[in-house]
Amino acid sequence: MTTVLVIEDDTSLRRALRTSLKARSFEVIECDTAEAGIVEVADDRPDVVLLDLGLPDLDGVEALRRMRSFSEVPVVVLTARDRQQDKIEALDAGADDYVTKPFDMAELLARVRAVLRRVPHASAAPAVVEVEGLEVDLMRRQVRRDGDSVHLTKTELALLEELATQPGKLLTHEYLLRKVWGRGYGSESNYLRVYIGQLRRKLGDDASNPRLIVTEPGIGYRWIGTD
Amino acid sequence: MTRHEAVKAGVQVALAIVIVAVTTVVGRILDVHLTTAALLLLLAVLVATLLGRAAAVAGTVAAFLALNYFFTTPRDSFDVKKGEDLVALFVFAAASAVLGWTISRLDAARRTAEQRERETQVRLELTNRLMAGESPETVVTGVADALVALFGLVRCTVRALGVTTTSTLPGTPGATTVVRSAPLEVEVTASREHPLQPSDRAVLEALVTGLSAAVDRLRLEAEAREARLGAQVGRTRAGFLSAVTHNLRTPLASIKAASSTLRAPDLDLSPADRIELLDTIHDETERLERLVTNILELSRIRAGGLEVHRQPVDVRDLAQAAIRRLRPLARAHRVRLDVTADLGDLDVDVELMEQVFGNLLENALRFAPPGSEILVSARRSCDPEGVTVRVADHGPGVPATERERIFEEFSRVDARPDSSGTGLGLAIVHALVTAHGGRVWCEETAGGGATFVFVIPTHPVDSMREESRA
Repeated sequence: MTTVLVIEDDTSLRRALRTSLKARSFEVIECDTAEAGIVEVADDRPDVVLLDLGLPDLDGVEALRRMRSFSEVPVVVLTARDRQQDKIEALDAGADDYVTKPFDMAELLARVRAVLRRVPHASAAPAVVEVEGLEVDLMRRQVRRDGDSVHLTKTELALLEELATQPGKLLTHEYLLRKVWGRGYGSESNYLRVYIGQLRRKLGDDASNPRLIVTEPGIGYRWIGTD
Repeated sequence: MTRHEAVKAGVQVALAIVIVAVTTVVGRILDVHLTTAALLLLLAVLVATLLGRAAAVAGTVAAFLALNYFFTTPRDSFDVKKGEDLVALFVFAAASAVLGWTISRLDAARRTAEQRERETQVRLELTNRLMAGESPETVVTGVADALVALFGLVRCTVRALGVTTTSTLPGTPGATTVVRSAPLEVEVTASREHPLQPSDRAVLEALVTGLSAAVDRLRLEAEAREARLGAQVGRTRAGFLSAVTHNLRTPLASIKAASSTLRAPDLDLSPADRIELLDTIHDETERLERLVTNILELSRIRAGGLEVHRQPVDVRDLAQAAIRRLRPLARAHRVRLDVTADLGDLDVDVELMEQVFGNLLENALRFAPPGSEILVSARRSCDPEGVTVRVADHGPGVPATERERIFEEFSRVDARPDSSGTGLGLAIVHALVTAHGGRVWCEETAGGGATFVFVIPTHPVDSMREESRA
């Protein structure tokens, strides 16, 4: 059985989440403070964490950093704040995804399932990703589309590798820029727009109806190719 | 030289010649000796010099010629026979020149001193205006008046910061000069009688430059002040809005989570789960309703739309009504009422004051542990004369540092989860008590807990409406 740790200070929302998740056969552990939540992550090793960003005792982003210092557990952030910057900070601090309150349980469950599918370490990722006629061989750095070889530049390949090895995870602009272009980059999201566009074109993905790369405007990109 | 100046000089010259002529005639009638004549004519030159520069020159020349023609031997001739007479003539010429020069210099010095004094006064006046922190517009208006007075202008127009002021004095308009120094533009029209001298122009330019710098600084200061004020108002409003948003979204999140599970087509919920989810929806809908009511109430008070309809009422009745209304919340709490017999009636708005009692009691019931006592007491107080009401509980209390902040909206002091509160109850209490001209604060209950105290004055100050808006 999958264990979900809910860290949320609002009693009513916790009650609604508990009932809804239990009805979906999840096991639920509840905490109402960040401190208790961090201890719970260490002690009970839940499979996934739902973390409220507006906790009374500790800033949610700080709580995430502390969790990340010892655990790779997938974290979905619950936030009533609709400020873009908060979401980006949480994602950069190690959150896997976020939902904004109020949310539909179906949406939350979809995010939870997606992050649960994610393989925690890139090294353990499948060497070959296959989706709808597209074959990405990360080991041999080869991409085939309907059997034909697709030529990718070094940067395009690095970008594809970051995305495809972390399916479902929302990767922020800053994360991708640092990983692909290197340290010292982080604010040049226009580079990303250009390269993601090229990658989509070469892989035969459609930005208006994506099957491989989803754009989260102002935040980042997410690989959905393995869904 | 202007026409006016030429005429003036002409008159001076004529006057000087007349003075010298009269003196000469007097000298000849009295048939004075050369020495006496020289002294008489020196006096005439002195008088002419006082008229002005042109008169001084004309007088000196005329007196020299008169002395030579009418008084040196041979008389009635420009010839000079005696060496002594020649010396007398030269001494006279030298004495006249020195006299004229000295007097005209003294006169110039006097004029400069007068001008300086007026200039200093203008600067002083303008500096005072600037120091008084008056708006740049007021200063600009003052500049026109001051310049007209200083230079004896017919008209002075000052344009700066979108303000145009004109100051005038009666007189015939003469030459017009424009002096610019951003943000100031000064257009001056001198009178024909007193045209602007080059030295006046220099002073005017210096004044305008100094003033423009001062006006510019004032404008920047005013702008900075406005920006600060705007940002402050914006911050408060943004803070309130973001708090409202957060507090509305939280119950909505529970309702949406619960209802979306209830209507999931692929899920077969147990009856217990179903009831649990429906209860959540019900409770959170009530919480939202309270929140919306409170926000509207607070907005109404803030907007100044609160009217206090005072009528005499017994404190005991107010407290009892609030207790009755909150019975469902008062699980095992013991609510005790302690009101002195001599208290008499309170002159308040019954509906609003009931809400004050209600909110304070609700607060106490929510935080104090079941089984504990909540004491509502009322006493007559002297300073200010009125009634003091205390609602004391034995809950966790409020830390001393938070006792003021607790009356701000959405300030939740307690870190413990408290889903049912709206975060607005105490802010409303504060606003309502203030509207009655009273005061509310928080103390520690003897033996632990929070005590909320409010004083309703018997003779409220008239400014209460204003205070309620603040």
